[in-house]
Amino acid sequence: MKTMNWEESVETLKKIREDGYRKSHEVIAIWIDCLSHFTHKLGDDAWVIYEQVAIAALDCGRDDIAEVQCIRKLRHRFSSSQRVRRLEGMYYESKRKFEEAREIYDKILKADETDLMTRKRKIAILKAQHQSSEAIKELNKHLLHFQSDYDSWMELCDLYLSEQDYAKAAFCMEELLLSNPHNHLYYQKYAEIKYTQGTADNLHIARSYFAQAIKINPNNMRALYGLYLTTNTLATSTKPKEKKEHTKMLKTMSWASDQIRKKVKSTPLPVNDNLIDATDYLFESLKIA
Amino acid sequence: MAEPDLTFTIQAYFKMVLHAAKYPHSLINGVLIADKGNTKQRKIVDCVPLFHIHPQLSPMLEVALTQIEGYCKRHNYTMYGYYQANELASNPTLNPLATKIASKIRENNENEGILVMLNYSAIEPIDFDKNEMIDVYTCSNGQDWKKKNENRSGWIEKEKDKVKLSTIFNSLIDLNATKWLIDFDNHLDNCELNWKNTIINDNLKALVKHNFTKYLDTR
Repeated sequence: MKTMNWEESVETLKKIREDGYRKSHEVIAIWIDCLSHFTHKLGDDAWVIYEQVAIAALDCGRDDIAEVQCIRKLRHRFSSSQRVRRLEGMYYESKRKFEEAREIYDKILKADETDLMTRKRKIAILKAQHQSSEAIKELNKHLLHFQSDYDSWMELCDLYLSEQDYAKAAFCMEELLLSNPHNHLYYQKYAEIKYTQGTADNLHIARSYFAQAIKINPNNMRALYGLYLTTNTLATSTKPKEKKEHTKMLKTMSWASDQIRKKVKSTPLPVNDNLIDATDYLFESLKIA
Repeated sequence: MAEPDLTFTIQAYFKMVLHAAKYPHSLINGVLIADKGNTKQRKIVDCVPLFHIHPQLSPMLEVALTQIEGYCKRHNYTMYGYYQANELASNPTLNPLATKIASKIRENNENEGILVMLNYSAIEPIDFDKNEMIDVYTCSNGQDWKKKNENRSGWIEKEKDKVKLSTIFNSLIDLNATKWLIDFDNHLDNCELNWKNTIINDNLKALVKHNFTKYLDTR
């Protein structure tokens, strides 16, 4: 990484913060190499940077940076802040002292039970303690009160997926689709779940949701491959009398494979020689006689 | 049939580790590739990192496995196993996802294959000499996977210069090598990224061959 001056460093951190990236290593590198030497120049930006660096440091296992260089300063400046208390809770979490962390979070929630971040930290503790069924239960309770907390719907979806409960995971995706019907990733993920569930009905649903994802974003490779696979399976399973249906599936299938081939072929050679071979192999081995 | 002796090349081993290091907060998985031929000594020559975003769903897994099968056929390799690192580093145990995919790969490889659970934590220090980072499981009946314990320290291939694994690992981290590691999810996001990982392969070769490590040690 090229060295940055302190103004660039502040800008970069701001961008990471606002876009919500999880680039903890980068944040810590910027802090160590540059900003930690310029804290006197930061003015009011300092406090939000301390918070950002503290969280990144905990994510990288640098408790020393988090506590000594950040949380301590924040505590000194904002002695009664719940936001700082939450950072202390996260510090205990990183030390795997879950009971202490939970105690802090409970106190915060007693003062303000609508503190979303703190409620989610408590659920994260359950995950860290391998209690995923408890975490699912608590997230469901949480979503009863905060139905528009879409990050939580996504988290719940992933928890159901890791339990291989595809029907409930699909339900979470339906909530997300309602929240934003223009997000191609939601359509694609929903279709992938439906495909995984199998059965003819689910495959038909998967086909139309993959297609919708492609309509919104023609470059969505997962959706293109998905559309290819579903139409392939549907075409091989149609009954002889459903000739029209069969032809329709074959047509969509060959359209999808053309799109994929075109996209892969447009990548620069010779670095990607194996990719073209690999996709051709896929189409060849799934060819319908 | 007796189980074959097992070795991992530096390339296969460190690509698994880098995959886990790139996404320490996710469940990651991938495929292990072995040389065809000598059935008494199996050499895991390479691996293909697969996913870090919802690896439980089957469509992209089918796409990836079929493509890698084609790649193996062309280069006279065989898909010999599966690796996974769980979302929580404190929980390196088998789960149904791991055994399901590993059993499938084993079935397609004339009922021979291994399952590797990667025990990587971005926070705890790593003791490479003890080699506790990977657990190998084998299976004799297609269902039950059992942990293999004998000869643990001999699993990773020793080059003739005896470069220390910890030194290679540290130089990879210094080089920020995780950013070059491409898994199948990265490839699906951007077709120009190649899951063959030529850049990492070349760098690992250079690290071992030119003994960069001597320089790094004395720095």
